[in-house]
Amino acid sequence: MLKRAEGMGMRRAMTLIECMVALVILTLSASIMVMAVQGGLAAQEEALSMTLAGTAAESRIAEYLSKSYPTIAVADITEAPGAIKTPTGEFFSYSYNKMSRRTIVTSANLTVPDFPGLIVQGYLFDVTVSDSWQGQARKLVSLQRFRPWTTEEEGDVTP
Amino acid sequence: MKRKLRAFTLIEVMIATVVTTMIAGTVVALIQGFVSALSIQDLRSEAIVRSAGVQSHLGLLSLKTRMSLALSPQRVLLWLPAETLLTSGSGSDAAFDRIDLAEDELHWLEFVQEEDATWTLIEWTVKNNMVEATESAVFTVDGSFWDDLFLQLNEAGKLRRSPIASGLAAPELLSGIAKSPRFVWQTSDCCQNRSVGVEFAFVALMGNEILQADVRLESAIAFFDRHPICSESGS
Repeated sequence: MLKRAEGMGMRRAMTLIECMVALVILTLSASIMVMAVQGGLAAQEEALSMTLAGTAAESRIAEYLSKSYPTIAVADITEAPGAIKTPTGEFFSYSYNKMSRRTIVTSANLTVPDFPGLIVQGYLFDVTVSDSWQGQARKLVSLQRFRPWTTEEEGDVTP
Repeated sequence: MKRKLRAFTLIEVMIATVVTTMIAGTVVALIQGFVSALSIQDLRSEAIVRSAGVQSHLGLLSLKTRMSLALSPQRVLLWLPAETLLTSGSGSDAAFDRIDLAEDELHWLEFVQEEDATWTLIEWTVKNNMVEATESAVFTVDGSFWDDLFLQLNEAGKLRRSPIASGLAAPELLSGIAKSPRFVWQTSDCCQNRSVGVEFAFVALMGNEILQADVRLESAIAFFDRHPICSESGS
């Protein structure tokens, strides 16, 4: 009967199995595409968080580099999520709300390997910005910067 | 003998309609999901790439900046000295005072609103082929002098416009949405100020929902030099 139908120029319909296989392939393809997009979104969200965390850490470093040297003191300051502040004392915007920031200022001596005996006195700033990921603290960015003491630090006028 | 074809029954048509509608609905939802995901991805990509661009540019400028000469939320002026120790006269106040317009010493950063209501961060520098080689300004702590100079040079077409980042929006602060992107600084006294920063946002519309990413960048003036005039004026 099938041969007769094809012989008459009629096309046969798809069988149930063919239909189901097609649907399974369609569903699998759609699922893979959705998973790829979701994975991309998650990775990008993390990248944006790290970018913003970098700006929050850099802001704190800039604050300490901008200070008059004699006003800097050894410190260990932790700002809770939603409470991190700009150098001018305002809170950071909503985009930074889930981030916490820890600043450690230590008195340190910098040694230069190529110049034995040369010791530069100064402060080491260590700033870490973290957020919470699946209930656990996640370190996003950690920046370190050294500020040397220079003779200009004590003078009012340069050069 | 030709076989007679029968028509679809009402039940078959209804089932086919329901199945087609379900598949079409799924496809539409899938496409909408992709479109919204792409909107979010666009916003995040812009925020990452453009803020990195602004940060690197601001960092480079602040590395070369001696002082900030004029500060306002919409426009700041950075002084990047061109003279070397050899040409400055080493300690000569006259050489230190002089700001050569032809030597690319003045860099204005400004937020300008475009026709589509977005904001662009522009860097203005003096076109050295449009000013005399000897044309210069003498250092002053008076910010209005530098604002007037900017307007004069701009009207005369002597400033070069270089966009740094476009498509920016006003940031959402805890006190409310700001009127525009803005510059921030440590203190408005240019004799004391040692940092320059910017606050801006990226905004994307997703249906009725507004997606926003706010960015605040700050950069310390690495080689800040307090001018002798600052001490004379008591700053």
